[in-house]
Amino acid sequence: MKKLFLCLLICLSLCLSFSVLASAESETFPYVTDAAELLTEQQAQTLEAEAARIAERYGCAVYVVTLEDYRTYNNESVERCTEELYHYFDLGCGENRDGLILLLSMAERDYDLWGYGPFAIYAFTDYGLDRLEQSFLPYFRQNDWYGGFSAYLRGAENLIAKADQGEPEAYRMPLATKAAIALAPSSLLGFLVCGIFKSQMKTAKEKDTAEDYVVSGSARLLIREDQFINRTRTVHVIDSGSGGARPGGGGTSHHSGKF
Amino acid sequence: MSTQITNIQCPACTGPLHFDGESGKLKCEYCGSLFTVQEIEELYGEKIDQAAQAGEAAVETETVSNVTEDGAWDWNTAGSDWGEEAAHLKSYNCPSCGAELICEETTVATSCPYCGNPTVVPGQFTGMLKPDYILPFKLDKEAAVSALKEYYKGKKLLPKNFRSDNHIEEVKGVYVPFWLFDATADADLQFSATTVRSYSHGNERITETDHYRVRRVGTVEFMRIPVDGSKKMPDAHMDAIEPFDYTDLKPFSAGYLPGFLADKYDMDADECERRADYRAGNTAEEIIRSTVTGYASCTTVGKNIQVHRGNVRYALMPVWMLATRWRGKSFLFTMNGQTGKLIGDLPVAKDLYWSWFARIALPVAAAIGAFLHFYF
Repeated sequence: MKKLFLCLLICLSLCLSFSVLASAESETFPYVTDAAELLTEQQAQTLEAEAARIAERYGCAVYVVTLEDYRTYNNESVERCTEELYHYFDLGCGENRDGLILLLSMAERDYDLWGYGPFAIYAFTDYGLDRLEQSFLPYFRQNDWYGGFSAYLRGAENLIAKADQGEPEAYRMPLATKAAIALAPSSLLGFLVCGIFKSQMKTAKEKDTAEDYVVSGSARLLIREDQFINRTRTVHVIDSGSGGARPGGGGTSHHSGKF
Repeated sequence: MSTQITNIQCPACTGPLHFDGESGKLKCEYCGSLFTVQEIEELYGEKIDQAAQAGEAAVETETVSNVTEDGAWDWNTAGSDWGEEAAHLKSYNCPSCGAELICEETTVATSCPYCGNPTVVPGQFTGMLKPDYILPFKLDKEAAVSALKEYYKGKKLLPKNFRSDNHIEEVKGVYVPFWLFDATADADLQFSATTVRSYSHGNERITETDHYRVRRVGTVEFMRIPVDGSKKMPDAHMDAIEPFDYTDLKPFSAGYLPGFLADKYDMDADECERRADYRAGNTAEEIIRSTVTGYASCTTVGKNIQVHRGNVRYALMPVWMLATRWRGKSFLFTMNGQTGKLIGDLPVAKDLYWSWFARIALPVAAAIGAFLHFYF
């Protein structure tokens, strides 16, 4: 019942908000669904056109959905709501349904960013999604919805384009960290080898032992005792190592929070 | 009055003799004649004894004062009092050229700086123990100088101009007095040891550690641990040229001394025994400790080392001393006159140190940096 209700509600909002697009492509879910009415019609159309261009060019859909309160549709969490929405409307491009969705819930200013499909997983790395979040969140905090969605689309296209060229956005270690990591072991090795060289320069050393003067065969062991005292036992539970929870399998990790 | 110095001359030409390590005989520098130590002892034995007696007599007469007070010259302005230093110096006349030789009281063999004649000072043995053994020189001066040049090779931090500018000031073959200690060391050692076994059971990784109390009691015998008995010989240098091969030890004879310097001991066995005890104890501990095997960890929790002292012998060991000077600094190298092992501290060139550091560290840093650049 809940799903049916969600479907009806969103379809209704679609019809009201994007009657032009709906009439043109009645079978297609729009890329921009503004149920919370944060955008003007012109802004929504501009964003829709931009998202459509990206989907057509790269074969990976980028969605924007705004709701008054996600709990109306899913009481569990904003992440579950996003997944249900994506799967219920069969969102995404191509057979693999590759796509990225940004859902805003205005009641408590929640958001969720989630990608689905093999290409989306490849393109939208955790690091990439982190960067993408940082690009649009400042706008939303200022209630600049159009600015935020525009930044989202630009950032998403950038990530898709990089992945399309075979180099998805990956974590780049800061140069200072790289330098520190490179210099520490190499300096240690340098000092170690130079220490060996230096030790060759000082060969006059007093001797602490007299192994050269042991009478051959004179070393005798008179007592040899090996007494068992006790046994200690430690048990570690082995982690099954499922590889990290990805709700709704086949998708990226969720990047969600408050804006 | 008999001279206190015996100049052992060639019976054939009266030229000075010196001990030749290669042949193991006394060799005449002029006519090349070779004589065994026994032959020379038979010829000069009486002369050496007379010199020893003369030395004793000199010690008795040294206490007579000959200071005069005629007032003609103010001798107070000339020179100064030797003080305690005088007690450690002795003067002799070279029997070959008559020059006065001043040497330390511990010197038993030297050479005349004027005529070069090697001389033995048997009187110096007076009141001291006669060495039990002597290990004759096997390697000559040229071998020592050659070994020093070889020693420089492969030293990556040696200043570039050290080889060319480092001047050898003096090369001396010295018979250094050593005490040879026989000892038996008993070691009673207690350890805390563990064995570790790990295995998986279901989704659990189980580690079992067995704890043991381990005890080893053993004994090790030592023969002739050498400790130098000369204060002026650095212990580090004397230790570092070990070991000596005792199979070549000979009963002491003054016949081995010509051509080399020789000192008598100025540290008696009691002063040196602690070093022998220390070395014997450490070695016994190492040997007994090595019998504790099969454990993952082993920590010493108690030990009782007892060194039972045995015979002590007095021997003269062959050492080449090479004194060099570079940029106003003195460097001392010593070489085992029997085995040729040469040691000594060399200066470290800071520029070469940092150059090598850069040559090692920078490529490694670049490789790690490249890896990080491409993968992170």
